Amino acid sequence: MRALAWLVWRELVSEWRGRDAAWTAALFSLAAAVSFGFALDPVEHDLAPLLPGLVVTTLVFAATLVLSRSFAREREAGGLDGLAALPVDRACVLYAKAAASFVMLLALVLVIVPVLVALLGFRGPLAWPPFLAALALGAAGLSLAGTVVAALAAQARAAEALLPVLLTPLLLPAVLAMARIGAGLAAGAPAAELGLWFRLLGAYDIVLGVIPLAVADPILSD
Amino acid sequence: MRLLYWAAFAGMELALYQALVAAPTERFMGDVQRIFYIHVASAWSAYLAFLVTLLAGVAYLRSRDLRWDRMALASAEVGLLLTTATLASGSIWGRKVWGAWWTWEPRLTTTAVLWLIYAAYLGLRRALDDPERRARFAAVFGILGFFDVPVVHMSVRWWRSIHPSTIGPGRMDLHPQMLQALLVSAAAMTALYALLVGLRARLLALEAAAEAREAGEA
Repeated sequence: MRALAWLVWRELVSEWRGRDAAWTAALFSLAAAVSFGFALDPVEHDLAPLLPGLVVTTLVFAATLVLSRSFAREREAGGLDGLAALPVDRACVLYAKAAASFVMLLALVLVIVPVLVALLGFRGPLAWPPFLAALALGAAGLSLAGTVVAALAAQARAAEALLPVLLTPLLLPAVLAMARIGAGLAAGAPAAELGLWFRLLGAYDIVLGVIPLAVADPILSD
Repeated sequence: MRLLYWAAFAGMELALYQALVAAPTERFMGDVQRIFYIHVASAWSAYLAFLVTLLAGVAYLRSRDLRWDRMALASAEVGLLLTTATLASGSIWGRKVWGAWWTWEPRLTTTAVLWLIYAAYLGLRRALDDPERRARFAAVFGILGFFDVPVVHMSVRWWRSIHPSTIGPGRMDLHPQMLQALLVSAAAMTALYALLVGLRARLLALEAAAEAREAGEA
């Protein structure tokens, strides 16, 4: 447990020193928001019903940037051998990476939501706490699946291009559940009626939470 | 192997006869319903193919024997082919019966996601050069992909549902002759699947042997 906490800390400190992932993901989100504005025209159309879906889409694509940086840092620093040689369980390394990515994705949510709301002119009642809770649950699944897939892609050719192709189909259940919760809340449904989708997000997180235990050794043994 | 050739060949002939001639014409949908026999048979074989990819991947991780990896790859390729056949035949049927080539219906959507996941599986393999690492990573992705599929299916089922469910819990609405045609088609398609995987795995083994010999001479 102490080793895990230390590894998470190490991840966050090394990201804080470079701040590559944070900057690129935040700027990408801003660029995406402006593109949505140009493409969908919030002056002519009411984008309120689309807003939760746009938030989720932006989050998922910005997340691939965060996740690809997570292992690119190791590769630039001399390969994944150092990680494999750490005197801790290898699953621990994956969980630490996932936890650090999760923290960064939460920060990213706090960038994406206000930027999209401000630029796309969202009005009307949306129950923010349940929507943010759904995004947080989704971000947990994104980080877990993304860490495993990024570890594979990082050791392949064209890692950055490969990651979204491998990852996007695996994330679809989380995308659907987050977007359904957002759309339901925007339409005025009480959070209690959306319990099904919250349970789905929970199930998704649990399935992906167990997988690193089974695959950490084959991914990090070289 | 020779037996499989005959089983696949004779099975397909018999399945075509059963589906096109012997089975009665469906009252509401007419002849287009006959696609159903090919459609369900290829869907079933595709699921089997991806299960084999998963199991062969796990067997590889345990034994580190590249024969298992070739089996996993061969099964994934044939599975992708069968998934394409499932989507194409379903689409043709849907155009006639639902009036649209594509709907966001659960089983359809799940199958499309399945297609994407195993296309990505082949993409990952292409991006890895070292055979041992490629086998290891492909097995990991196979595990991840396979366990994602039930969650995908559950999620789209909650989303919406209009797929005709013939074989549900405790009900079976098929004419006996139709059921017979379905079972024969499924058996024939499974034999064809086994034949194609066997041929592909043998080809992969020959390729690996040729590469090893070239490396030895160089």
